[in-house]
Amino acid sequence: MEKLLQFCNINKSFPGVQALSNISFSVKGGSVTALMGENGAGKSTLLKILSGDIHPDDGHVSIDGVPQRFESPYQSIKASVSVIYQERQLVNSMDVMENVFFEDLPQSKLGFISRAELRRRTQEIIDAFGLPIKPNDMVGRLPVAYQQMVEIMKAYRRDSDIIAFDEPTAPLTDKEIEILFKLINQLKARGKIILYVSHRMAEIFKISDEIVVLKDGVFVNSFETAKTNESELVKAMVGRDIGDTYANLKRNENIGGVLLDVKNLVTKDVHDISFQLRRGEVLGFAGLVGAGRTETMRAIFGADPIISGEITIDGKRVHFRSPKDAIAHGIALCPEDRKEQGLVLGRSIRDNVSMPVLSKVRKGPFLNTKSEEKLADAAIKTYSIKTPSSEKEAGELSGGNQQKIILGRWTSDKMDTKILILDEPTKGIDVGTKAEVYQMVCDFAKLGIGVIFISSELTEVINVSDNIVVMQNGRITGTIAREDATEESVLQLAMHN
Amino acid sequence: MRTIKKLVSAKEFTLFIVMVAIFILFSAINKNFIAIDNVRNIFNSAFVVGTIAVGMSCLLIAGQLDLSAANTGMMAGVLIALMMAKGIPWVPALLVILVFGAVTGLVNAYLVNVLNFTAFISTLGISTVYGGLALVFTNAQNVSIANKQFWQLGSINVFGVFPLPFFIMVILLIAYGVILYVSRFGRRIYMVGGNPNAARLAGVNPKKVTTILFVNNSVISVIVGSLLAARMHMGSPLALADSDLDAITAAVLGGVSFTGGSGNMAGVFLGIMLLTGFQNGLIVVGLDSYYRVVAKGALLIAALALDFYRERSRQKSMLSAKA
Repeated sequence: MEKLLQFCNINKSFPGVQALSNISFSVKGGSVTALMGENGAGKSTLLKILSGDIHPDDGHVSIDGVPQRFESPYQSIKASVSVIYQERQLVNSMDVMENVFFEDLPQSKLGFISRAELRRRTQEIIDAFGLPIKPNDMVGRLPVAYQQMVEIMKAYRRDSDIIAFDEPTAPLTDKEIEILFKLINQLKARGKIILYVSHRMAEIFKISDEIVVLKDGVFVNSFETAKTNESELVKAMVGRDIGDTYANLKRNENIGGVLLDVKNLVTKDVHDISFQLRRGEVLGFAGLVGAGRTETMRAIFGADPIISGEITIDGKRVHFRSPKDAIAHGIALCPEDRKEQGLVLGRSIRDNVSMPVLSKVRKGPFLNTKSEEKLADAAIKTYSIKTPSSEKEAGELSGGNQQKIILGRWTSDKMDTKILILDEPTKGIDVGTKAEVYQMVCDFAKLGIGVIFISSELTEVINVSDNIVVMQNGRITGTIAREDATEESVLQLAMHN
Repeated sequence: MRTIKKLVSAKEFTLFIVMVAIFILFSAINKNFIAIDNVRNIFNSAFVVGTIAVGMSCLLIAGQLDLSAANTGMMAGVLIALMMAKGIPWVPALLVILVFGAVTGLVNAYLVNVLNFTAFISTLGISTVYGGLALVFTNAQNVSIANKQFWQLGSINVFGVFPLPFFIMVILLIAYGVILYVSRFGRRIYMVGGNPNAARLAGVNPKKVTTILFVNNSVISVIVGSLLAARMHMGSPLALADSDLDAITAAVLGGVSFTGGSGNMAGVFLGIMLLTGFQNGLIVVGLDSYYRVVAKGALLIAALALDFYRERSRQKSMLSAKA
């Protein structure tokens, strides 16, 4: 019998938002169904309901026509559902085999864990995946891409009938993506139901059979992958035609003199890094995940130690011992991981915006709350941050709005930012907002700011930047001007040996 | 109206109501609870735990803690008594003790910030070392202090009413309350406790902030230890036992987050008064001393449970207000 997963009239609300309203659709076995939508469309919430992590206010999930009520993730697993979250659910201090067999460790007759059995069965799975890892490797010491694969092994091992992937390829390199797609196709051939959430268009077209589009918690439409195209999907997701985003960008035409000159920079992660950034230039940094782009920027920003090399700003040699020094020289960094590295989530927007300029918002020895508020309100207005007031905790806002708080911090009128480093600024941001971010990047350049734009999305890094530096394995492998750059040429530099 | 609403919904307000209710209950059982002498008694006994709680709360808000505070204070009392027994006048002895406090704080900060120990382990180690050293130095005997001038430090009344140690505690509470609320350094304490990575990348130096706070806490501890020695007329290797744990209890009772990032001195003050008033009240109503220890723990758990349910009902009311 063909398997069938149905979402029936599912409603879910959180304080302040209706996350899902009346979602109904069904997914057949033996096919891959992609779930698409902007951020906040409700994809992750839907997966969490499927996994029993949260409960719907109304409606239910039904499997093969039988309505299910999952009180906990354990019940969902028992009903043969595996959900692979974007945030890995692994125990870093345990080894691969213990993680893979986490809730079902094989036991000997005496009730001890049978290590030999565990090792043998884990090795079988690793072989099926074709990965160069060992069953007793400590998960926390594996590269992020392999950690993600261990997460996927966990679901594979359970042999669940229903497998849902939430942005599984974000930390993967092309090699693992290929392995993953081969596996998904095998699972599909065995009649499994597969749900696949991703922002990456190319992948969706490669792997899916059906595409379900959600917007603002509402089911918009479903498409047969073979019979649709990118612009139709984007239109469904955004609710309007966004046209050719890149052609409509208002770019900076006046690129000035050299602002930042990095020569032969060496740290423990990167080697012999040399490049120049000009005033008003958008300098893209392309490369695969782990190519050393983030590490290069952290070193320039004074966050990680430098072993050797020279950094010059405006013709003056600088040596930063901490991010504080770098900020004083007009460098700002918007980190990739907003929640962990960017914001103090438990504090207000105001506190987060004024953090680097506390000495400029004071009256004598005391902080001047009024001028702090003015600073935060300006950021809220400039970037249209959606919040009732600047006193709202940063953690209560959505990802896109959190990104805007960090931008607001670095571009306030108390800051004198000359060099703005944006590390994956569009990560996890929906299509509509991405276009906004691109224009912001160009606007910064127009103000004469040198912008470093790190992105793993080839199309965007090629089309937004004036010049593109390509990195691979901790080294720069080439620099290409936008006019000469194609996805193929950049990819070749990112992967060449 | 909005200010009143804000005041009523504050964490501290619930705590205040609970405190008043408990104190009314004690007074109803035994009128002596609110007699002037007993109130002064509460003030007097609040100072050890209360003063340590000031420095400890700052550390907790910054995401650290110091389990060596009590033994650092105890060591200060022992050392000052030993020095005075050797004929060193009390003023230079006290200065040496302050340096000892600062060095202890630097050692704690070094272990945490340079060797990357967790504060729990490193300060526990220092605490144990001091506990042992004090026994070695004193041969497990109390060291008496004969200097009457020094005694004054522990017993003199400021403005004729407040015992000096209590007065110092209140001054410190107000000073640190102001620092946390309106100074740049105070703001940095919250940011470092809330997310040290983000704070560092926004130009704050988390190691500098925590180093200052470790030194600050140790110096406060040696002041407490010295004043207690002055009050007791001796340095005792058993003085201040567990007062750092009680200080953490008072801070958490007062709404300081154990994981860092939130809390304020108004709450800490209420936490101190609740803890000491409660302990005193149990004596006044005649409860056996062993039960008092049980009651202290139960109070902490009850306060945290209350806070949990309050927060949950707040979130529920937010949900229903929306629907």
